[in-house]
Amino acid sequence: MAEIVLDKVSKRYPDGVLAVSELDVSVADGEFVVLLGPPGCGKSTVLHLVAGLESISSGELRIDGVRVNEQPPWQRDLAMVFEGYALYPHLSVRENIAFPLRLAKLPDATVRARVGEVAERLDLTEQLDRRPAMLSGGQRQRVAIGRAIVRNAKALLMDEPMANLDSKLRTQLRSSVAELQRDLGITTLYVTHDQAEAMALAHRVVVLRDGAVQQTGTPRQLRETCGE
Amino acid sequence: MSGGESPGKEKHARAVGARVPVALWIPATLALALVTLPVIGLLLRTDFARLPALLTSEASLHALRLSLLTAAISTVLCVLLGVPLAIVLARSRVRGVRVLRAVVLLPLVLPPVVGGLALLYLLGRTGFLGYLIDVTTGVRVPFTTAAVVIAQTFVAMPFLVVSVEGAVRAAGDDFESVAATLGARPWTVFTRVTCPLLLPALASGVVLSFARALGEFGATITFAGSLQGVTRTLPLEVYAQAEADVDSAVALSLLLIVIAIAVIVLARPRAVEGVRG
Ligand SMILES: Nc1ncnc2c1ncn2[C@@H]1O[C@H](COP(=O)(O)OP(=O)(O)O)[C@@H](O)[C@H]1O
Ligand SMILES: [Mg+2]
Repeated sequence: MAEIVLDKVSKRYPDGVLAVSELDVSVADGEFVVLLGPPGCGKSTVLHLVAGLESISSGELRIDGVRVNEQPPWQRDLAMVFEGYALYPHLSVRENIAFPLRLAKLPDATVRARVGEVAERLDLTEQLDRRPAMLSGGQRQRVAIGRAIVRNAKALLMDEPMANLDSKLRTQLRSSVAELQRDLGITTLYVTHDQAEAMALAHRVVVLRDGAVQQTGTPRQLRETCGE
Repeated sequence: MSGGESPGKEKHARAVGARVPVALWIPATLALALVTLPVIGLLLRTDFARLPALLTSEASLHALRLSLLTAAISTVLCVLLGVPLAIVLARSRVRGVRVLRAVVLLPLVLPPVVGGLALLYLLGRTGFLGYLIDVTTGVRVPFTTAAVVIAQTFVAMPFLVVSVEGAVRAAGDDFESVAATLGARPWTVFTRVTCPLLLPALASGVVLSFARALGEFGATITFAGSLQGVTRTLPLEVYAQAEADVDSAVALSLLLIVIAIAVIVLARPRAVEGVRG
């Protein structure tokens, strides 16, 4: 597990947009931090910076105290769940979940065992031989989560994983995501624009506005300051 | 389109909306006739008794073999060069890529004769590249089988590029980003993710460019000439026979039509399905 620190991190895209500006965020080992903010405020950009999918313009990103600005994404040992899930349509659910293990060239038996465990935990055992196209939205989301957690990465990054689900399902799934994070004890940085979701999931919420931290605190602290 | 209504209502609405105005039927029938009648005309003109003999004459077999060989090589070249080009065009953020895209499409809209002429003035003995090749290696490209392949690749490449580029765009880059975060290096991402995702589009691009290469005439005759066994492909053979032996020309045309229909049957479903294989 790991600790993630963004130290005055800024991101200016080549077209001149300053998407993230001098951002200070830290996620402690095993902590569940939610980045909350309206669409376009730079939430996805922050996750891309942490994952290494976009370069950091200035500031420092540290994982477990080590600067990783220059480290390519495939060496960072993080796992990311994308908003659209990006499940591989040409692979079965089993091979989607197994994908990171295959990349690591683990032996077949290990892969089968690990995928079986994860599928069981996420209630996907029945779906293992199906293609993603045949799954419901909720099942797809679970496959994406399964693919991310199967190799015990250092940390989990999630970009609005509920955005494509209907609101009833979204509320139901909050508790299972929280439970999963608690069971795994995995450091998690989670992005959403849904305030209720952030409050329900987070150990700590970071409110983002125009690429900068507007407010930060535990859900309880935020409720008190808002005077709800 | 019209969500939230009862199924019965929806069906009714669709039936009304889908009714084709009578006025459209007349030009639609004409269009269909324009496409099918010439083929029927050709069929009526065909001497079916002599068909086997005509198709297996020495000249026909030469042309057929040359056509299949050159079209196959051209298609391979289209894949090897066109796939990387398509990916660059779809992904590169470098300025000027849009202009490049238009240039790549040029052979699609250019009269093939003009393409052939352009190739001749590039690779001919007086063309700057042709002169260079001639002086340094003694090789003269025009009027060789290699020239046929170059002409075919020139005209067929856009079909492959357009097909693959569209698929790359439609897929977006999340698939690749996910793989990178899961531990895949760029080359692994390319072989394990990009390539399989592009396979359906690549397949339809391959069939289309093969068909285009097989049917190539204008650029070939200008740049490669019409030498039996060397550069005279099927379409050129049809043209050569049209005056000498009409029956033979008709028989070869029929062969080309059969191939064309096979191509449509092969490529259509994939082209429609796109990436969601
Ligand atoms: N690849 C990119 N190139 C240029 N600008 C971008 C890019 N990605 C995002 N942006 C811009 O950066 C800002 C933040 O975007 P994003 O991080 O996607 O916000 P959010 O995820 O909170 O909706 C927006 O103004 C967006 O237009
Ligand atoms: Mg976003």
